[in-house]
Amino acid sequence: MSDAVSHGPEDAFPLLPRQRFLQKLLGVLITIGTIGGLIPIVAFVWPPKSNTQTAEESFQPLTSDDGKAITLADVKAAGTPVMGVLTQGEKQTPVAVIPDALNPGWSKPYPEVISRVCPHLGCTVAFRTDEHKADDGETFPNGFWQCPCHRSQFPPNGSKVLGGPAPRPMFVFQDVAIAKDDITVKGVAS
Amino acid sequence: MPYIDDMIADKPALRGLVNWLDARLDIKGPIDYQFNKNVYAPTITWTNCFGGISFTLFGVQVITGILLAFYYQPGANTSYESIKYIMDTVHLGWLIRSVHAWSANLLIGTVFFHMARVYFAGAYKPPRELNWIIGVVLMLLTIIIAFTGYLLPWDQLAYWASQVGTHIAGTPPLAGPYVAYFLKGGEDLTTATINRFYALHMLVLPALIGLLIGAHLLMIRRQGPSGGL
Repeated sequence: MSDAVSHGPEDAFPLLPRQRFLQKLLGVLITIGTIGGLIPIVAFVWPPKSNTQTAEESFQPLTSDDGKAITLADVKAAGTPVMGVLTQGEKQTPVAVIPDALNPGWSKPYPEVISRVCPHLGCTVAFRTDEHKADDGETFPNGFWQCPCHRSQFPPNGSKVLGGPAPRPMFVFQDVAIAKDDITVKGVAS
Repeated sequence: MPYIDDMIADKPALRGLVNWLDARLDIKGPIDYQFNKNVYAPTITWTNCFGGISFTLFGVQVITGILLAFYYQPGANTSYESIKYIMDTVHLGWLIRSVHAWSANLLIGTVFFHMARVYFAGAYKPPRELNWIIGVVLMLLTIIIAFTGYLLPWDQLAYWASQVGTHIAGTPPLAGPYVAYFLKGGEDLTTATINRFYALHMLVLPALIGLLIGAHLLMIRRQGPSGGL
């Protein structure tokens, strides 16, 4: 290890042509590598177009299992929540429409639409009509919601947790509109 | 590596800039010295590369981590959704996130190889004890930063791994329950846990690790490599 940097003429070797070529080649490779590293970084930071959200930003009709649109008349005639599916692009969300008769205190001009995705771990919650008494002691003559996976329980309008591990009540869609007689919904269930 | 003066001899524009800087900061000498220092030949083997590889991987983690922070949203309702957004929608998001995850795994491995090499070569012996101690702290910080990063995707794997990890932290007598309470930010794993893990993962631990790596490298530069067995 020498402390002093000698700068004598003995250091100044002229580079051979092949050494100059290798130096140039190294420079080119480093440049290509730098550009190759910067391209994914710039692409990543550049904001993506949010074209996947358009399906969720417009009103979509609810369909029942046989593919037909759910109408206001279907809901009025039903004694239990009407099961349906909300299709937004490629995404499908199981939903239910709650007849006003099962929904005391509901005053909006359209029936309540809730997501059947359990807020616990995402199973599809089933409506039980064979049981009438929930874990917290409340009774529901028409039945109530109970998740088949971990027994989370909700009242027919899904507004609170009656038992089980669910951290919050079922999701209620805020944007519901009646188009002709069909029930349409927009927004993302969370 | 050639000397700076030789490199800029035939480049007048660059020579002007370098000489201007050198007149003010006197940098040519130190840089020439660092880049032309002789390295003790027996230390040039592949087993001695793991410290440098770990350092490179840490750099990769910093870059990809900053990039991921552009889109990641900590929180029980947003973490998983934002990871899904990164993987599905963001340009090359799958690549950046996968590089971050994989090089984190590799980093743990290279740090352990580095430690094993130093141990079996006896390179921790005087006068290099302090650097060994810093290295051990760096290894522990690397494990902690990997653990805090594991929770952030908020998927099943992340949730239960952190459940187990914080539970283990709660088992020592006396202090254990307080440590677990502090780590979780409450009784359960919630948004509070994600937020404090995120703060540790992207602010506190990288800063600490960066500072200690600086000290680690200064010491190896000052003391030189140990020269093997």
